[in-house]
Amino acid sequence: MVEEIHGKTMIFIEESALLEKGFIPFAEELFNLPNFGEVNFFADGSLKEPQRGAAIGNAGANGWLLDGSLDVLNGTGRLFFVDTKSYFDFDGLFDELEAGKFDSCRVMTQKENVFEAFEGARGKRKRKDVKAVRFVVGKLEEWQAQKKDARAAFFVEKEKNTNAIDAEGAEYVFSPKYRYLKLLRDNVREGGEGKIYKTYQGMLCKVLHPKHITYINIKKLQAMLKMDVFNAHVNWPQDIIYYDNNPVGYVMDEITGVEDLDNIRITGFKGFSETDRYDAALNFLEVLYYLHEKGIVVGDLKPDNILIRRPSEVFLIDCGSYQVADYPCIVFHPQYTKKKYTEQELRTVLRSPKDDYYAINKIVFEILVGQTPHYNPNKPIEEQDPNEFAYPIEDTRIRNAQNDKKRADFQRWAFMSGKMREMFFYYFTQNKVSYLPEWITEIKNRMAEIENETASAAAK
Amino acid sequence: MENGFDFGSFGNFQSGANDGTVKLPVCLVLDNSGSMQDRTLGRMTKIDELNRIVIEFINYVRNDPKARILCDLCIVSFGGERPEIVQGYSPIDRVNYVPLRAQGRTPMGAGVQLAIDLLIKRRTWYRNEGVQHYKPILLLISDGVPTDKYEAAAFQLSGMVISKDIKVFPVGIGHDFDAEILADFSPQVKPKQLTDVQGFEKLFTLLSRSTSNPHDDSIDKWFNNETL
Repeated sequence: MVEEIHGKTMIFIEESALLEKGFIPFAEELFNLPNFGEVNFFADGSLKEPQRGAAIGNAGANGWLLDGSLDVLNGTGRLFFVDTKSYFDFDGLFDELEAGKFDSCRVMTQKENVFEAFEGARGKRKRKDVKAVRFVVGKLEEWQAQKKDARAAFFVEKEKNTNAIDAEGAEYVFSPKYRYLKLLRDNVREGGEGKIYKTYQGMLCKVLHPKHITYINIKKLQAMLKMDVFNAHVNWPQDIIYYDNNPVGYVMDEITGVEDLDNIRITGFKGFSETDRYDAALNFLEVLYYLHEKGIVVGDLKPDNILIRRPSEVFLIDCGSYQVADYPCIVFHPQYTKKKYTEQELRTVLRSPKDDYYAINKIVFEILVGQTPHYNPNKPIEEQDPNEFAYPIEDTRIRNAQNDKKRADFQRWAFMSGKMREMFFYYFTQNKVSYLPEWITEIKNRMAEIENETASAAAK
Repeated sequence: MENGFDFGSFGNFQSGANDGTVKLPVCLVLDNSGSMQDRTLGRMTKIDELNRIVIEFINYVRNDPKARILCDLCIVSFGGERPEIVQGYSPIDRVNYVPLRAQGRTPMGAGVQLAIDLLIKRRTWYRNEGVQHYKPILLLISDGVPTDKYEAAAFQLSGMVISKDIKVFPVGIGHDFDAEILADFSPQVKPKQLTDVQGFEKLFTLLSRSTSNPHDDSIDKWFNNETL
């Protein structure tokens, strides 16, 4: 890629590229170019924050790499920070190019969603002199648009695990990490693939039904245990449990003082203030962002698997079914998945984080507005059309709707920022995806406005 | 206000209406005609068995945290000269079931018509109050043949099934019911024959599961003889 750089070149470097070990060697190669004086670097303004490196370090990445990479670029005197708000304002970047300020542009990122946003902006303008690149095993390569069915899941034609046993009657199970765990029989909950027991030791054990103790499920659990998932709001499997020397499920932490979002939803969010709703939505999005950044796809996202500790702390549970590495998620909820997967597709094709977006948008909408986005009072829930969006976008229609004081959902729709309404509207009507960082930013902005408005009202 | 719309004091928008509460309407349409006094299922009479199992079902719904919130229960009986509303649509906390007595003829058509009318009224209330609902379930149980004109009610109910407004599960107890007539009420689900207590218990166990999880389709599979 270095040899392709000619004339005045803009290189937009997204944070994830700065974290790659190959970045500094690449930068040094760039510095040796004869026309290096015509290269300018751009990065998002949030990277200027002094604690940014430490913050990333705490999230499990090499924060020191970020500081080192930034130092190298700062030393050139040609690093400029731009406020992209949602990180993905590639339209502004293309505007600069078209104004003749640069001859060509490179976007460096490791994230697929950033590449997709870039592709969306480039596609509209039909530019070929702009490329997105990423590090693959230390070397820069151009991003290629993924074919929809390119990612195959780990799949075995014939089930290899013939040792699946029924641990239904077990009094004890064994975990290499926690040793023997006594199952408390008076506290059992039926989960999707097995029963969940409290243990004497205070953890929870999910004992799978024999038909779910498959080779792939065990491999997936093993992969999950190797991942660095350290988030108190994700109820990640902590160890595999064994009975009679055979794997029968997994152990996880118990989360107390919570209720599931579905229960809260069907009782109309009683006891939740508007601020609590926004807080809960924000917390939910931040947990999803954490998982997606690690390449984890939830797949079966639904209110039953989301717990809330009032007023607004959010936990995700039932993580054993998530898609990790090459191991698919083989379940989905019909109300929270737009695409209807076949059994074959579920088992053989990997989903992308984008496939979680319908559920994410719907759940956030339900938290903030208190109704489904496809609300139709004349139809039962199962028959409401997921292609119909029930809320207006034009200001005059919103004002008219607001006049119906019986409709609390219209009040809440109007209460959002205009940007948030647009993001929901264009997603549900045109499939225009607003990525998690954009959502997090917008909700935080709106919450700040609410706080200011509350303070002003109190001062009067 | 920055977002352009006037809210006054916006602390809480809950106005008691359109707060997003969700319900699952369930209607039991039960035959309490004179023949239900027979003991064809086992030691107890059919009506005693039916009463026992309905009470168990109500207790399940009362004790399940999700079913208790979701379920709106209605019970209609048809025995004697006309059907009766045993319980109009109510949340489970307000259900007070008085065991049925077997008596008289089998006005199944009038019983189903009454159930339809109650559902339509309930849906109108849901609409006015902004309450969302899952597809209503109607369980029709009979051990015999209708003694009234049932065709109009069967036509209306089957139309509602085809329009996806309702799910109907028809059940025949014993051997004296007419499966074809029961099928007239339910164009998509074949009538299930129950000849013992275990069948009864299975039926209400699966119905109970639906009340705590409306997406659970075990009852549909059982009626269609699919593997559960």
